[in-house]
Amino acid sequence: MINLLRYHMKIFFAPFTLLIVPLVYALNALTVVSINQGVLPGDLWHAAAFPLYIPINLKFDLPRWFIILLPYMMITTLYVQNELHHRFSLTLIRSGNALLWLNSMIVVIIKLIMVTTLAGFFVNLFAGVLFGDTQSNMVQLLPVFTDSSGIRLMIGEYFMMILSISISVLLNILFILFIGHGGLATLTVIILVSVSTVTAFLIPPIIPWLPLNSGMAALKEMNNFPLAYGLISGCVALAILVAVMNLVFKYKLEQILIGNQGRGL
Amino acid sequence: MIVEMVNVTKDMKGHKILNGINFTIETPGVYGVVGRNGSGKSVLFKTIAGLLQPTIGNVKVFGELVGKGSFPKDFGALFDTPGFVPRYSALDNLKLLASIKGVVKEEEIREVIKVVGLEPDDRRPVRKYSLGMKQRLGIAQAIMEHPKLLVLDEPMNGLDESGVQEVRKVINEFKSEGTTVLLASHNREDIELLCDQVYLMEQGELRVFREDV
Ligand SMILES: Nc1ncnc2c1ncn2[C@@H]1O[C@H](COP(=O)(O)OP(=O)(O)O)[C@@H](O)[C@H]1O
Ligand SMILES: [Mg+2]
Repeated sequence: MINLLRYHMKIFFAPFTLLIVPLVYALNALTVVSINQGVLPGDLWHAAAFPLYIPINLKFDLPRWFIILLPYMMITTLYVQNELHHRFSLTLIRSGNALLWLNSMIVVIIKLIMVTTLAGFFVNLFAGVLFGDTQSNMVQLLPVFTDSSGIRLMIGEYFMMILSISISVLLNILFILFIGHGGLATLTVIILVSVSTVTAFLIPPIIPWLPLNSGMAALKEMNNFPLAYGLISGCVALAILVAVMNLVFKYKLEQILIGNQGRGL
Repeated sequence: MIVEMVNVTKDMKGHKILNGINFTIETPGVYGVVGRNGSGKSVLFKTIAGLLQPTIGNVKVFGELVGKGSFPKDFGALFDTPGFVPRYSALDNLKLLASIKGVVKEEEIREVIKVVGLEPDDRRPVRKYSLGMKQRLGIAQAIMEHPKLLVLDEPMNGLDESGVQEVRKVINEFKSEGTTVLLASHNREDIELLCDQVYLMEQGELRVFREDV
């Protein structure tokens, strides 16, 4: 298992992978700065947290969330497709057991998400330093945003984001296992996240039970659900997802390797 | 028992590719499988490797069931042209793969790369390799861990004459070390020169084609 972890890490933790996520956070922060007349409202921590609080506005913030989500999806899609459709006879056989391979990959992916998201948060802090403006009244702020300390906002958002990004990414992989096509799988996840978000707007009481939305902390904060709700439902969803992936991998390995793309085993 | 297939049937998309195959290997040696294209040689080998699941019957390698996510231990294989990490050099690719099992050292990997006629210090990424070079590297990964069972599916594909000679030499060396080699080939010469026993794959069935005494 340790060796397999190292194997997955070595390919995943490449310069491109480690750069693309912080880059997207920078893009997101700059977008928010540019529509707020060049500033981020609040002190350093509030200013840093501000670009991460999505969505408040469905039309604008949901695409912003997808921009953050996409690099994670892209990196993992490429990896899974290469491994399953091109390297299977080299890697899987050596692992001795397909489930060991799968679970060590899941561990490494979650680790990758934690590390790159942390880097993304540092980018936001940097944006807070550059663009933070305590005098700014230009934006109508949520009360919860101004009532909580900036550090609490950032830490809460970090864990919620890691959970919902992990769930989206693993869902994406599960769909790849089923339909054998990375693009279609990602599209399916995007549709699910959109449906989940719209549902959250329409039926606010069920927000804590929509783990795909956890990353969009604003929704929870607006409706005053404690952070723990999101964390618990996120962890439960993640556990169920991993269990389903294990079952699918064990019983459908052959179909997964052959794929629906006629790539042939 | 090295390989034990009991009454193995494999259906794919409604076609019976393997039809009630009973196949056992008890003693080390080089075993060849011949048969026309599409007769099911690769399906047979992938079933032994645990990559394909028998529809009926079961497969054991070294006494352990394979399939449903379990793969044979002490096993090396070459199927088609394997997908290496394109941005890595040959050496880095093999080191990465070797790290999964952790049983060979870098020195041995360098040696294996030389054995298949490649250059361990060649820093070019594998993406720039020709098909023949990739095939050589594919053979190198199959043999580098000195498996007790080596499955080579058309290993001479895409190789020039010198490559073919080198692979023949490798197979003979493994044979003398007591490794069992399963070889699929449609090249008559390979089969005649290398194999202790040859099977013919035809209409989903495997029968002894030629036996040396
Ligand atoms: N992934 C697959 N899906 C459906 N049929 C397949 C698949 N792979 C192989 N087959 C079929 O199995 C038969 C045997 O193929 P194969 O084992 O590759 O033959 P060989 O290696 O002897 O040339 C062929 O008829 C082929 O069409
Ligand atoms: Mg074949």
